[in-house]
Amino acid sequence: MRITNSMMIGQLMNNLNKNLKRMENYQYQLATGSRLQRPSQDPVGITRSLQARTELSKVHQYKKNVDDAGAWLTQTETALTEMNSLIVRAYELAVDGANGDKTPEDRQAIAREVEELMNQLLEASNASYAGRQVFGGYNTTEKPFEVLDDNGQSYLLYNGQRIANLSDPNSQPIIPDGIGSERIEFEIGSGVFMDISMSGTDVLGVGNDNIYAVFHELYDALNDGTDADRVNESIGKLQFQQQEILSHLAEVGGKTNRLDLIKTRLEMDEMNYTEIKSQVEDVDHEKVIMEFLMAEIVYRSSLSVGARIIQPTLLDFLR
Amino acid sequence: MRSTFYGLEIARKGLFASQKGLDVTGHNIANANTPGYTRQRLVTSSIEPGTGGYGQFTYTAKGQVGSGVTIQELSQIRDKFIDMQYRKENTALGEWTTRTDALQYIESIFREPSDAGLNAVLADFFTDIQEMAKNPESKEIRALVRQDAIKLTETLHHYHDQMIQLQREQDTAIDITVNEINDIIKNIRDLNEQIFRFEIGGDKANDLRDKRNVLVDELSSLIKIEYYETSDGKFRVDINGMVLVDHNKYQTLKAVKDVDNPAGEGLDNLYSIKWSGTNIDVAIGGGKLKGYLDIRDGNSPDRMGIPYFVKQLNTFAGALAAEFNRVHEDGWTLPEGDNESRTGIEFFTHERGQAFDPSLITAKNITLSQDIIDSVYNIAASGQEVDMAHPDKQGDNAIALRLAGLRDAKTLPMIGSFENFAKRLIADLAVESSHSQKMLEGQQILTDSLEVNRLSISGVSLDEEMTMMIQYQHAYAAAARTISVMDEALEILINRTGLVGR
Repeated sequence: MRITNSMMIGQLMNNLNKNLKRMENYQYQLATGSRLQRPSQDPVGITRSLQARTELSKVHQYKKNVDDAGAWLTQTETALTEMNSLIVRAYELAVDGANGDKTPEDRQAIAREVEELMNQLLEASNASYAGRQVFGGYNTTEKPFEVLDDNGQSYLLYNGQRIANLSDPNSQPIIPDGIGSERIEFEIGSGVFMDISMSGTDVLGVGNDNIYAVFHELYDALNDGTDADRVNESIGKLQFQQQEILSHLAEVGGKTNRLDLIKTRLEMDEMNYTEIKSQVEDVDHEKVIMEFLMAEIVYRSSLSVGARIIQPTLLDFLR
Repeated sequence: MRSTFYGLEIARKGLFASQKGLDVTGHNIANANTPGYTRQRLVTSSIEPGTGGYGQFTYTAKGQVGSGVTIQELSQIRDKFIDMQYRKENTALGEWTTRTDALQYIESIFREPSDAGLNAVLADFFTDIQEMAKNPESKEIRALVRQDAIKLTETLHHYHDQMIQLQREQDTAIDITVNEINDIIKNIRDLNEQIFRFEIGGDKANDLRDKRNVLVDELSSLIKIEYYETSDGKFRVDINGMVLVDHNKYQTLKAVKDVDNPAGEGLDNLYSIKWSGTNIDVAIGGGKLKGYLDIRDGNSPDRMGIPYFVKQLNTFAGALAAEFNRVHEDGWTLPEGDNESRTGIEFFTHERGQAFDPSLITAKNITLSQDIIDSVYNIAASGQEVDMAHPDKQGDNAIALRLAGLRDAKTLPMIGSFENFAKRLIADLAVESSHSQKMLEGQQILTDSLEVNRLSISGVSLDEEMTMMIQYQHAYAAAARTISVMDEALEILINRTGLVGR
């Protein structure tokens, strides 16, 4: 092939340009830490990276949801534990009050303590987490449990509905359908929901089995002070309710364990997806620096060869 | 019988030829860097004895010498076959160049992967809805949902506007290119005439031909052409069999804004390319013009252009609005002040105050409904009526959960899954753009190598010209010396002969 000057210069410029472009690419990668400027640089990779980004965004959200669910359950657990200790104390007092040696005055003194326990129980059943009611079902803003005095009768209200007549333990109020069936669910995985709410009626019961109603009945019996058998009746109910609370505690504990497990899995997912994303998008610095250095050598040598090749012509050697 | 001054005549011809040779060398060197310049060579031949009228008897004599040198022509060293190949590939190069540029621009419009692309904005939106599901009574979180919904719609608007802007630029480029083609063909026509007139005397119009070749090169990058030169020196350029330039006649093109925009209704008409003075469309088989047209009009997966991407975005926006509204309309709003809890509320719409019709939704017009703009409490998160007088339902998050669940839905009509659809759009674009870049790269290498071949044949080599120069210089000196010798011989003959004994 015949070599001409313009051809040589043209080729040289093309090649210099290519080499420079390669260096520019490595420089960009190193400066930004990102391997891709445009999706077309790695069409297969970009799909994986976008997928990983989506999954990461989901995993982050699920992790947040799991944390929130966990905090909510911890609050529930605290309230349940408190209720349990209140029942234990009420049980001790009932046993003490049922003792035939006690005078009515003694029993009335015990009743005072039971009254205090009742207040504490009401507080525990209106427990809230971050301003939201734990046992209220869909009612998250108002205290679910209230005591209402109406025509000399005392009622226990749940979300505004009468669930127990405190003055008359033998009357069973009409319980509205569907009460306590509301479930607040958090999504803790793709399509995986966890019911984190615990309905107040499930926990405390309705009618004269309701713990508060039982406490109230115990209080009335002690305050009356004359009937030890009536006090005795409460003991059995308290034992039964304690079992209930303990089984709810076990349920919360089970859910907490499940959350821990899910969280571990989410963390592993997070690691995997971060790795995939990083593999596609992030620069392998050692590799790119090596490649940059190689490109630099090529560029430098093409410059030096170019400088020598375009200078001399026959002209330099003609006298 | 040889004439007395015959030798001087031969030497004179030698001098002239060498001088001419030096001129040609000078011309070549002067144009060593002129684009499109084809090196020229002086073609000489010897004159056989007895011609030129110097000795009518010479044929009969023995040992006759020729009568010197004559200039045959000033020829160009050029390979027409390589020209043809080069122009064919140059047409493809022009097409891939414009296509690649445009696709890369579209890639930068989509800004992926980044925290500002459609995928990221969509993820943010769904994340907010999850938060709302956990805390449906919170005004702050509802405001966040609305804010990110606005961000999502604005991202779609932005994509749409940028696409249409790019399309407009491509359209303008088509008009400009048509004018460029018209300029070139007028120039070719003028050159045709000049070359023909120049060459009618038998000379070669080398430099004019160089100019014309450059123009044909340029033309070949703009549009696919066929061209040939008849044996009587008339040059013709066709587009798909229709005459563009035929020697000294030409037919220009015109761009007429009469094509409906395939990217959607209500957009400006686009240019079509017609033969001037007719209503016949020009068949465009390649070149930059085809690149612009394909990007501007491409509407199918095997010919992706702006309308294709706009339609995908419209599909996405339509499905987003339809699916979201479908679930949202089942929900109940949170009452605020005197407002009661309501149901059947739309989340997205195409025009506030108009009845919602999912088929009218586009990436350009998708927006939040008036209800959502009025109050964030109108985001319907609850699955049942919420009555603030008996505040026991505001924690209901059933609809919020269903809205969040749309993220994982895989079988939505039209698009399957929101995020997969958005990802596939980017993946399609990436594959198309990368394919185009690879084609361009290959085409560039091909045209470069043809260009190298061409330069190898036609380019000026300074070393070669120097060598030629020395060659001619020596020849000139030698011819001059021959004259001196002749002169000396004549001197002897004329001034010193017959002086014996004087």
